Amino acid sequence: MTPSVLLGATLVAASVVSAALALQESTGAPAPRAPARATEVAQVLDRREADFFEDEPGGRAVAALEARLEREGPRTWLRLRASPVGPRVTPPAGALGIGGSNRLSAQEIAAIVAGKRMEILAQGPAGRARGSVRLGERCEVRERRLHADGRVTHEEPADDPPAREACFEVALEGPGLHAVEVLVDGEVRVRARCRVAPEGGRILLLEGLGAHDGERP
Amino acid sequence: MRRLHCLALGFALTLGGALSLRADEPAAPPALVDPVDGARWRARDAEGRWALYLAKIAPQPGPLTTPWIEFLERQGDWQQLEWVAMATNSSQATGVLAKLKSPVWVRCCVWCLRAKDSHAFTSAKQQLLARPDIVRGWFALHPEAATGAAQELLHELNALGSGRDMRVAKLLAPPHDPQVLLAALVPPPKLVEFGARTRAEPGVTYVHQVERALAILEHSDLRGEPWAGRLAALLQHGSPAVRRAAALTAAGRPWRELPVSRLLARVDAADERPDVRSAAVLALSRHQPTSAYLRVLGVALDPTHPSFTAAVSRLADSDSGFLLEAWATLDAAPAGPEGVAFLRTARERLAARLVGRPEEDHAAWVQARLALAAEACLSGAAIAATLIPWTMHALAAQRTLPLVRQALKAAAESFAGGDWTTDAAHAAALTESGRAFARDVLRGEAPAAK
Repeated sequence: MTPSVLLGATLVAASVVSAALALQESTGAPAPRAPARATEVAQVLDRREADFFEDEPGGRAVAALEARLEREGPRTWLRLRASPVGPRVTPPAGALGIGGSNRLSAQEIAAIVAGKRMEILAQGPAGRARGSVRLGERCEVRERRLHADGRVTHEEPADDPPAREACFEVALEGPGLHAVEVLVDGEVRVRARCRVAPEGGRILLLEGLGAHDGERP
Repeated sequence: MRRLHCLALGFALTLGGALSLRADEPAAPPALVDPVDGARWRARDAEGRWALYLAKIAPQPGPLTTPWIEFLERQGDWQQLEWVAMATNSSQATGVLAKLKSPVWVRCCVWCLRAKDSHAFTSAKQQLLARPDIVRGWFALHPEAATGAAQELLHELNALGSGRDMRVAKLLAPPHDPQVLLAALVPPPKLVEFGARTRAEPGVTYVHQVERALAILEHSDLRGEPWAGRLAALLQHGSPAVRRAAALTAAGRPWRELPVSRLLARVDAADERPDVRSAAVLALSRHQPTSAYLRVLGVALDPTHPSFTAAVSRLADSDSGFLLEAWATLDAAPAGPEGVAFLRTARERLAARLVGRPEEDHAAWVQARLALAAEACLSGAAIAATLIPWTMHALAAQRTLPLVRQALKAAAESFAGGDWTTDAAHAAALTESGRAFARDVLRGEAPAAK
C-alpha cells in the first residue's frame, strides 16, 4: 500500500531534477523574486488541468490541478493552483462526503501552506528560479447531513479557517524549455514542463505525482 | 495473562492521565477556550467523556473536532484522543498523541496505518518514521503487529537503521487486537442510550459504544469475515440508531461485502425510520452491484419516497448522464421549495461534472452503462423503458470515438456479469445481456429486450 496525497509524506528522496536544481542553486545567480500576485492583466498563453491521484490501485483524484502559462509585459509566468474542489475530486471514503471535493485534502492544503512546507522551483535556459506560494481562493467543501426525517442536505461548511486553494507562481525566464516542480517537504508532488517562445508558449506536461512517483526518471 | 496485562496497562494509563492532569492544570493559554469545563470533564469516566464529546461536536463534526482535540491535548486525555484518531482518522489526533509521548501513540499510529484514506495513513506513517528507534523497539516486542502496511513500514525502518530504544518501547501499550477493540460490533439485544449519565454502569452496553466501533471499522481496512457478517447483522438490530450507523458504515465497504438484500429491505420497509431508510440508500448508491444501484435510481425518480434527497445527492456524484434527462421528466415534483431547489442544484452539479469529459472517461463508462441496462432489462423494472433506450442512444452517439469503440468491442466479447453481482446465476444472465447490448450498439441496431 503506497498511498499518496498532495501534502503527504516527507522522507522520500527528491527527484533527479530537484537535485540538479539544488546543485545549481549553490552556484547560480539569485532567482528573481515572484510577485505575490499579478499586478497587470495577464495574457494567457496556455492552460492545462490535471487531477492529483493517490497512487494506490484504482487511485482516487484527491485534488484538482490547474496550470496557466501567462505573459505580463516582458515576463512569462507559470501559475499553478491545487484545489480540494474539482469535478473529478473524490471525497473521503464513506457516505458523507460529496463528489467534487475532499475535506481532508482541504485540511492538508491549509496546514501545509500555513507551515510553509511547499515551494515551487523552475529550471530553464537562464538558470534556476524559485517562485512563491500562497493561499488562494476560498472553496466550498460541503458534506452531507442526514436528518431524522430522512432528508439529506448539503451543509455549508462552518470551517474556520475556510478551505482554500494553494496557489503557486514562478517566472520562466527566457525562451526555451522550463522544468517546474512543486515540492512538499522536499518531495516532488507536481511536475510541469513548459516551452516558452517570444511569440507564445505551451504547457507540455502537467502531472501530480504520488509519493513514489517522484523517483521516476 | 494478556487480559491481566491489558488491565494493568489500563490502570497505568489512567493513573498516568490523572497525574498528567494535575501537573498540567491551569496550563491552558488565555486565547484557548475549553469547549467544556475541565472539572466537569474530569468528573466523567471514559464513556461519559466520549458521550459528551459526541454531543458537543454533533452540530458540526468536522470543524468542531479541532478545538476538541486541542482541549484533549490540554487535558492530557490520551484515551479519548486515541478514540478520536481511530474513529475519525484524524491526523491531528495522532500527531498530538505522538507529541505528548503518550503510552498509546505507537499502537494508535500503527492502527491508523490501516486507514482507508491516505491522508490519515500518511500522517501516521510520518509520526512513526520520525522516531525510528522507539518504533523498531516496539515492533521487536510485538512482532505480531508487523502485518500489512505495518510490515512495509518496518521494512522501511529497518532499511534506515537498526537502533532500538527498548527502554522507551517497553513503556508503550501493546498493539490493538481488532477482536477486542471492536467487540461492541456484537452487542447484546438491549442497548441503552447514554443520555445524561456521566459514568457507565457495569454490565450495560450503550448505543454509542457500537457506533464508535462502527466508526473505527469504517475508517479501517479490515475486510471480509467476521466483519462483513457482523455489519450485516447490525442492520437488523433492534436499535434504529445502530441500524442507521451500520448502513452508513456499509457505504464505505467493498461492494462484494455489501449486504444488499438487508439494505434493500431497509429502503423498502415503510415502517422503518426515514433516516435509516436513507442511510441504506446512501450505502446502496454505487454502480456495483447493479441491482442495488437500480433500486436507488428508482428512489431518485420518486419524489414521494422519504429517501429521495439521499438518492439524488449520491447519484449526482456517480450518474453518467441518464438522470439529467430523467429528472427533467419527473411525474411528480419534490415536496416544497427546498426539495425543488435541492433537485435543481443536484442537476447543475451533475451537469458540471459531466461537461467536457475526455474520451477516456466515456470509454470507461461503457461497462457500467451496459451493466445497468442489462440489469434493468433482466429485472423488468419500470425504469427499463427509459434507461435502456437512453443507454443505447448514448453509446451509439459515441461509438465512432476510437476508445469508446474499443471498449464496446471488448464488452461484446468479454463483458463479465460477475463484475456487477455476486450471484453466479445472475452474473451469467448479465453477461449474456450485456454482451448482446454491446453487439447491438456496434451494429447500430435499435434497442430491443434481451
